[in-house]
Amino acid sequence: MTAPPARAPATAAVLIGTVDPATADEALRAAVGLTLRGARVLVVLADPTVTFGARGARAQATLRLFAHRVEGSDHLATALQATTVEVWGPVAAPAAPAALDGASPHPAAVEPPVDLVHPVAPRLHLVRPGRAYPLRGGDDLVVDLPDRLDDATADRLLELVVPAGAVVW
Amino acid sequence: MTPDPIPAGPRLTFVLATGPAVGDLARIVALARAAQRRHVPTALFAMHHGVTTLAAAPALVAALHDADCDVVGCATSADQLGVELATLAAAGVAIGSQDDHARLVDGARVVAFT
Repeated sequence: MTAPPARAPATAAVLIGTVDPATADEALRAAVGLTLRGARVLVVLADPTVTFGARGARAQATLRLFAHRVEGSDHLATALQATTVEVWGPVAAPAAPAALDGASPHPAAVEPPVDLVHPVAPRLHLVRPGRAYPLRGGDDLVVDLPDRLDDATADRLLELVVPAGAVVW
Repeated sequence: MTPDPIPAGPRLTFVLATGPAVGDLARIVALARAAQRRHVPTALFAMHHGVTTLAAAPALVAALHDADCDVVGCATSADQLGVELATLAAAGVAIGSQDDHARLVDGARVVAFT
């Protein structure tokens, strides 16, 4: 008897753009929660000024103890290749490093780890009113969400969402 | 005209963590109804201010049930925010934990309003 093929481990990314400590703590608790069925988790702290309470500090320690990653905004593009992405709060575009003489002003592309490659490209991004999609360029599909979704719009969005979910900004 | 069903596939899971003023629950209801029209199974996990949103909008929770969307709320978030579990339960919200978050996301297509 042949064993069924093993499913690749799920990957999840939690992007923390909020600077509200209570919400940031909850985002980290969500990240720990996402590990409970075996997903590999990458947390990106999009705003370096974010602070956490005791619960957030414990959650970060737990994530690192089990070899999950907590990184800065330079890992944003990598995070967006996870199969599940939760964006907690508005995320600004990462600042490009200052150009030196003859140097590119653009950060070097970050090669994603093999287990963070998203299964469907281009990725769908849904942008709520008042929010922004922080990464420009590339092939990803970016759709502005209206305040209210009528049936026809919801039907069209569903066609886009069903293949691989979406990232909501 | 009824839209054609989308071939059976993974569940569509919504995650809700925003408060009532953001308006995400109504967006989720619209998408869940669209999913029902196309025979796509759905579920919702709410945490943080998402449980407050569920407690404040029983009619929208009922609309999710009408759309065959399973609704689970995080007990820890409810406790932190002073949302009565009885209020959530009366609205038809199953009381759950982060294990439900992981379970509902696992293998699903995810749209997280967080």
